[in-house]
Amino acid sequence: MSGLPKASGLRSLFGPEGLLPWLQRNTLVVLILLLVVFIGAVDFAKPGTVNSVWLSNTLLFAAPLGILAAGQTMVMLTGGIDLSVVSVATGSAFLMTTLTLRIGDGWSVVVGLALGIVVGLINGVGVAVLRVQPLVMTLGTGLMTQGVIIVYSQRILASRSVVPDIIHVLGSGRFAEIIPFDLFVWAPIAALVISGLRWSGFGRLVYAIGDNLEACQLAGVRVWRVLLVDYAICGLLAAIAGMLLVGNTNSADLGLAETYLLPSVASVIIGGTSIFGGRGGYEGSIIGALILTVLNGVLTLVDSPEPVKQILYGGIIFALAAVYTRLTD
Amino acid sequence: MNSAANLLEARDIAKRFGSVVALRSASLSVRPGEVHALMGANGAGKSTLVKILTGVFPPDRGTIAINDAGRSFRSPAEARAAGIVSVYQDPALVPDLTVADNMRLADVASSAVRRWLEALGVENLRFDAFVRDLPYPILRLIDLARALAPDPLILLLDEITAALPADLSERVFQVVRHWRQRGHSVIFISHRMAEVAALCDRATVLRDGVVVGVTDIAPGSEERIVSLMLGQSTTTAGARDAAAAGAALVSTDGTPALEVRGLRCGHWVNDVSFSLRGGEVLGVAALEGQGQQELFDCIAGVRRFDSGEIFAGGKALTLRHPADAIAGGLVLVPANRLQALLQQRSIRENVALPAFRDISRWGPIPLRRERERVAAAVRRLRIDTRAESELRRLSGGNQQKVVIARWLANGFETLLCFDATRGIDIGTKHQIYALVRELAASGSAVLLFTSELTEIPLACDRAIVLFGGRIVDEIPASAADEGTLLRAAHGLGSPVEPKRTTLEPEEQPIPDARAAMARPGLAERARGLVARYPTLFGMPALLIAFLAATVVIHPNFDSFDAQSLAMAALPLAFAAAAQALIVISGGIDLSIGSVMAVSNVLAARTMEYAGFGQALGLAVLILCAGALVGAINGLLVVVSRVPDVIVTLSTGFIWGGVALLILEKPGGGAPDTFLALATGTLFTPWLSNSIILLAASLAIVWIPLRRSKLGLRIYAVGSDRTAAFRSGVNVARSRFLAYVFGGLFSSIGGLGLTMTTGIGSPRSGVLYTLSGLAAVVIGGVSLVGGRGGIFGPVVAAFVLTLIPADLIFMNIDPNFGQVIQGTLIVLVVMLGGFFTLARSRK
Repeated sequence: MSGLPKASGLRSLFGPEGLLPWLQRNTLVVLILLLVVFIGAVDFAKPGTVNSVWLSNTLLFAAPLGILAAGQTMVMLTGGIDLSVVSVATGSAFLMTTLTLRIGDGWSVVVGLALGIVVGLINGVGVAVLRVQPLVMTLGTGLMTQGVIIVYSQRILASRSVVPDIIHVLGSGRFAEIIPFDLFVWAPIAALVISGLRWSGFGRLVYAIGDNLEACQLAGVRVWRVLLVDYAICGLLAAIAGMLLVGNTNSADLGLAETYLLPSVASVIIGGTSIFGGRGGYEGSIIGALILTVLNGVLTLVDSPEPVKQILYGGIIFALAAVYTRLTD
Repeated sequence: MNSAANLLEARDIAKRFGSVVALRSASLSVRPGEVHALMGANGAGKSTLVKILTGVFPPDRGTIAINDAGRSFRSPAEARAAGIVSVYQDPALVPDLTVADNMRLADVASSAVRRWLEALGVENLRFDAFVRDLPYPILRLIDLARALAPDPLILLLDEITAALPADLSERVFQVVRHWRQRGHSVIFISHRMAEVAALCDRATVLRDGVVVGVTDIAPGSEERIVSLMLGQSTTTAGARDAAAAGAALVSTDGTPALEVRGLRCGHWVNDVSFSLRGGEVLGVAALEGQGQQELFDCIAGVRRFDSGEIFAGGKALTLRHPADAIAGGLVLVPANRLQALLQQRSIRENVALPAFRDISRWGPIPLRRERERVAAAVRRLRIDTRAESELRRLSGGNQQKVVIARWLANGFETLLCFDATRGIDIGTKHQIYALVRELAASGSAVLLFTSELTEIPLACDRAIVLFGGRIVDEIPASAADEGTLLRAAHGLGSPVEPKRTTLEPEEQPIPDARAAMARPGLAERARGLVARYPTLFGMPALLIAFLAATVVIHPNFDSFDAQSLAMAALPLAFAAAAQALIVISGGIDLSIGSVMAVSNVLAARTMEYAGFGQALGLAVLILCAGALVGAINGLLVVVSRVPDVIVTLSTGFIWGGVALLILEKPGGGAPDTFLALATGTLFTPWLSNSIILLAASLAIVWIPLRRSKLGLRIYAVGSDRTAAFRSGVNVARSRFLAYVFGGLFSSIGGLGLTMTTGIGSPRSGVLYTLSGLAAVVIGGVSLVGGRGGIFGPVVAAFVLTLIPADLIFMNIDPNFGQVIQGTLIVLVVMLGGFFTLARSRK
């Protein structure tokens, strides 16, 4: 990281040694600034809101989005995208809650996670082996998964659905009233993803494939293996996110993760990962997820009708992405 | 020719990109009737100057004057209007359009192009052939002919002979000389000194963004030009001495490092056998397209071969993937560095890449060991690491060194160097050859192909000559002067002057061009039609199959069912049409459903108490609103440079919110007479008005659009944006207009929703975005863009609507419909991917 800029006059602000290029190279700083601005906006909208309880709530709600964004980051770094994450999240959560009474807490979690891995592997086979475009492939598997879950939900109408205790605690409990338990899931995942992307051979390959797939093949890399594992991990992470969500709401609902698709992609874009791959990282996506969660909170506080909130949400996300694209061009 | 005024006068041109200065101050004067060479090493600023002269981007400073009139260009189209046209290394032809359409796109008369093509020796070219089906040298000539046709004042040729066989190159030179005689001028860029010496009158030399000299071309001026480019005096003799200093240490033990026996691959490689020992540098000499590329690809594991064996260190290799070759110690340095390098990553990541190919290496990276190994390789190659953070900041020569550094760090037995010095400045070239000799001296084996025959003796111990996919000669380095090599490379027996000779066109193998030029028979034409438009035949077949199945499942299928089906499919058909149009332009729109909802609720809200006439008027207004919404989408996509996925996901939210603002809950209505436009039956109970409405809309909007210039531009932009831009298309405007028309179709779909449901519902559009996309994919339109039509997706929409209907008839849970829809998409694309893969394996 370069030293701090000398900002004397407007010329040096935008010149080669000035503030703007420094910001371009250190986009994480920009993001954190944005986050602070948004938190400030919350306090402005309703003074006194920002306190430890609010912080705790925000982190609680940000964690599932953050975990979805982790998988999405890993996939987008290879130049792909995963539109099936919300169907997988909902599906895994639903599957888990409906099986708890039949096979017990532990096994129901395992089956839920397995669904994520299976869908991820199907995505991987399509994208990695058959070279199908990720957008289309994951669109298809998303629809497929959603449909399967809907049909399944009608079959098991009779039986009850129960959220396993451990999931409920993780999804909505707090440690010492302040620290949400789901952070204990998010933090290790974040650490693994960040360190993996930076310091593991697999991480290097993810970036390399996103940058130039052909170069990887010429260097002897069997690209399909990496992509297969990558999409499987994304599916697994989506399943985990879904479980945390249902742990929070404590009721299995087919629309559980519905509103998370755009935010999961937006967090990653805002966070600095290029949609074409080869550049970016999860650190930015974390801040992106936090920004979007705070934004959501702001809109909830602002007393306006649902449609206006929706318009504002879409508009602000677009504005953030636009600013970000300009900055990193 | 001695007129005082210069045809082109560029003064003091400067250009920087961020902190990188590409041109400091470059001036260029071209006289009328002159062939002027523009010389310079990689990174000297040549290509930047060329792009400024031809309008790709404006200079930061400086003036350009043509015939003493000051000009400034903001686009290639403007430069062309002023009389400057360039022919780049990549033909500016859109692959998914025909030759004729490409000419139309650039506003060039096909007849003029045809005449120039004949002058260039290409006769009877089928102008209705798709560009993607034609061989590369032919495309370059078409590009050239298209540049010549509008009679420009100045022709800019960038490495025009790079991929041309000798006889075609000679024709190009004849055309250039003819051009000069007419008082027009040519700016000629080439790394081949012999060509420059033979063709050009003067040369301007660039170095580090400044002009360092302008010299007349006379015998002996080559040395002066080279020293100007390098900034110091270097002779090829000196380089040869430096190279010879690394004495060849050919290993005398039995096993060759690489042995190839009886290799055959398609029609390119015909029974090649040779062997290569450790410590030896074996050169491959060949003219363009004699099979050397395929030979190297086979040995490197990039391409499957038909028969033959490859041995590395005595062990037979099964090569299915480059990893297999690398495991055998065979590593490839390709001609095109872009193929091998990660542009956005650092030097270190580029060099270390092969280390992770084994799953066992996916874990934590041994960072210190990596750093040391990379540093050692970088040091040995003397790579300029000033701009370490991103590889793309390095010059071409340094980038190529990184490729070699990668293999130094990874370890290898045999280095396969394929034209590794193509397009690289002379200084770096000599460094690379010196390195090759060093590697051989330390025991490695090197197989080296270079397109510059003079360079063979610089690095090689002996050379094999490839002609028509066969080895026709083997020459020791001492005898490998250019004349001997050229003679052998032409497959000729008699001595030949070391200058390019004109050969009869029949002697050069251009098999594919023959096929493109012959007139096909009727059966072949029919087959070609089906192959070219598979969806035109496939989709209706699929629909008929589904309809047949429906009738079988539900024998009581009556006209009422037919009407219901048509009405249910109508909105989806329009959603599919909208999406198809945008996808063809190379974009995507995830807000289509929301736009439909807006249209739907607007209609239901305003038409509730209206009469038929009023409703029609309102409908027209709503269509305009739809186009406006599409325009906003398009504007945001084009101006903000945010990827269209993100833009339209966001605007989908916005339009959805707008729909909710207009109508909070399902309600409203429209006059029955208006509804009847979709629900009624004008002619027969079997033909719902919906079908008539659909057909009419498509006929009025799509068919004229498809045939128009704008339609051509939309396809061009989706197929190859760069080629379209260079052909003079305003890319931004074309993409924008695609979104406008998409918005129009979406709003018709929304009106269709109003007509078929009778009410407005703000959340009505939710399913149509993704279902429309599904219809597009199943309907055979590639998401890549540039191909396909609206017909397939519209028919697919009907198929997709039939599925839940059939399920209901079969008393199966209609929710399975979604499962089937998703599965259908997955199956269709996976099958498509599978077939493409199988075809490419051939």
